[in-house]
Amino acid sequence: MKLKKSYGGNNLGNNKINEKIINMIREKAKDNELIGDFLIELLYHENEHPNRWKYKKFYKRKIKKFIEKGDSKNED
Amino acid sequence: MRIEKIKLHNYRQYRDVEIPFYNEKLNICIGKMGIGKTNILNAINWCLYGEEPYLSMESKGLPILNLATIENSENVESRSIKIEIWVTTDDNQKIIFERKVRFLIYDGKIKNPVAAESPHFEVKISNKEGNFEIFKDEDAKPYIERFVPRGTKEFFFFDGERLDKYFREATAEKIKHSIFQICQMNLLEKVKENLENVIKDYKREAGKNNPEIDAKNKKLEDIRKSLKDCKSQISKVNEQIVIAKNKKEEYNEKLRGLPDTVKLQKRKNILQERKKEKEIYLDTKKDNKHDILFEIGKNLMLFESIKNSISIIEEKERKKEIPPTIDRNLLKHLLENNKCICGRQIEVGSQEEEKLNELLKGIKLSSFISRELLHMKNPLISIHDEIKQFKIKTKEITEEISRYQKELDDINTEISQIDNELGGFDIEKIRMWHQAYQDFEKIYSENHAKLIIFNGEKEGYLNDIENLENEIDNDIKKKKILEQIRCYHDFSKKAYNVLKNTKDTIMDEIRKEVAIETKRIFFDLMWKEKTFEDVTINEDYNISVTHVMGYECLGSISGGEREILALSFTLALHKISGFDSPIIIDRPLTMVSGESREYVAKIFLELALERQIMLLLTPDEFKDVRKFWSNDFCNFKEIRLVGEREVKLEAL
Repeated sequence: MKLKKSYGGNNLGNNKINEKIINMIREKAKDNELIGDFLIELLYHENEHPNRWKYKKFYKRKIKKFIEKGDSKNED
Repeated sequence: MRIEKIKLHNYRQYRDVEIPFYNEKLNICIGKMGIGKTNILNAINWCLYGEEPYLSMESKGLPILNLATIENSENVESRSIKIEIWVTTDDNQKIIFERKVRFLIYDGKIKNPVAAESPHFEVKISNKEGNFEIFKDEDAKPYIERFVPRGTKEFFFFDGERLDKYFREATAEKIKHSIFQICQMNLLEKVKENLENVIKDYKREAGKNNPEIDAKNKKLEDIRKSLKDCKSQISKVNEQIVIAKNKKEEYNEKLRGLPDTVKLQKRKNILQERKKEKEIYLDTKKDNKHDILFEIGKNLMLFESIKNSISIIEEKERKKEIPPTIDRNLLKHLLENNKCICGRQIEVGSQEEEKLNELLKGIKLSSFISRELLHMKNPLISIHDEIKQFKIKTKEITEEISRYQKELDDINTEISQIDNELGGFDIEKIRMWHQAYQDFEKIYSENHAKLIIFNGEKEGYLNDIENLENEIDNDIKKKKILEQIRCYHDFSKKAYNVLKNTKDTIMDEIRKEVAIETKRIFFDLMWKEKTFEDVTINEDYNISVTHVMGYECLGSISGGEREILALSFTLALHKISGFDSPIIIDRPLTMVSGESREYVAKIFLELALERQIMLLLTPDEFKDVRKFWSNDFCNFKEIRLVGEREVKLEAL
């Protein structure tokens, strides 16, 4: 199984995520790609925070951002 | 990734030691017990994760700073411990993991056992220009996850005993946990948990605006707590089931081929009871026979006489001699007195006298004798019949005695056979094994019953949670004022469900892959042909090894076989997860004995061609396997004591 290098482009971006996980999320979220993107982004961020971190704030911000992204896509 | 070298500075016994790692060669470090081999594992763990999981009791009492360094320091001095792990990635990038900590020393003693400052951790990574970029502390930690993630470190750096214990003590939960850890399922689970908490937050927020939702949220929390307790019970019960199952198999294997002493002993006891009964019956019958012989024996000798007497009497009866028609004495009296019964005179020489004499001659027995003979007849017949009956009775009783004797002989033969079967075995030990088997059988059944109950409870809680969550979701949808929260909540919920489906599907797929790979590697490495039929990991994450004879034999395989199985499972996890970091094993041959050692030693040699392996061995362990490891394929280093406080690494 291959491991995919990080997505996101920050300087912590060398973390690896099991490719199987990424592909399966894509498959399970094929009806709503936005959710797939959202989850993959969360995974990379979670991988970069092996210890405790203030995830709630971050998650909520991401949820808001992705909903807005969805809304703007729908408007287009 | 490959380790190039590990540099240890002032770390415990290692004042200034560099441990080189070779590729395509088995790296062997030999050192006497207590010299500090295991501290190489501790050094790696300390450098990467800031912990020393394999410290001996002796080491725990000593400072982490090298003792010689402390003693050689004068007045107030600052001394540092530093460990560096030099790694090369597959695309030739250099990474140096480094942890250091500083201590203050006053007159040869550490001022404070706690370091003067917090340990510093940093990672240096070479860039395309060959320069190193430095990442410190929290920024550096993600690189460890790239090398050997903390959650999976025990699959890369471990002691040999772990390999032995792994499937001896492993429960399905442990196997599941291992797959979970190494395949980053923990990452998926973490996102899932965090998302779940965010969803709970949205629900709570909605509850603030609606007491009905708030009450349902509280109820939901209570059920979740009960579910958590229930899952914990299920986990414990499962653990007990696997332990009991393995123990049952272990004892079953021990008892295989041995006589069933409990059954045989039970049979012997029954036979001995029967023997006693039969002996008593036999003795009684013999006494009966004796009594009969005694009673009738004396008449037995007179049998012929009695028989003749009866014949004589019967003959006389037949001849009408008895009873006589006229009394003999009366005739004699009539002749002597010459008078007839009627009183008439009987003349001498008369016809009457002649007639009376003729009658007298014809009567041989007197009436008395005749009467006596008649009286004797019936008792004689009775004795005669008794004697005749005696023959039948003695025949019957003799037959009975021989039947009992035969049964007694059969019982004695069976007892001797049982004694022969039990001969040469430690009956008490076998009995204890039987008892242990039955005890574990009981534990197994009891826990199975508990599992059914707990699983039922779990299902109930899950249903309650689902229903309540649906109710809350509907409540949120109904309240227009909660529009925004509903929007966030719904998005999170959808994402959560995708994640949950992903996790369930991947876990199952990975379990199957690990099972197939473990089996493949196991049969590849196993030196014994036609011994094992199959290796499987079922849906409940229970591993099982099937013998070619068809029985489950995980509990009874040898130390060497168990080590190969655990190694196969570990390598399968590495392959499936994509992590191919080096493996360092402390004393891998400890639990392997006999010819298995030779095979395990050769297997490590083969594995070293594909990945970096370092084994830490005692001289005794090394002596046993040295002949199988040629210098061409191995690199040998010996840890030697220098003075009393430090060690050096020298080529062997």
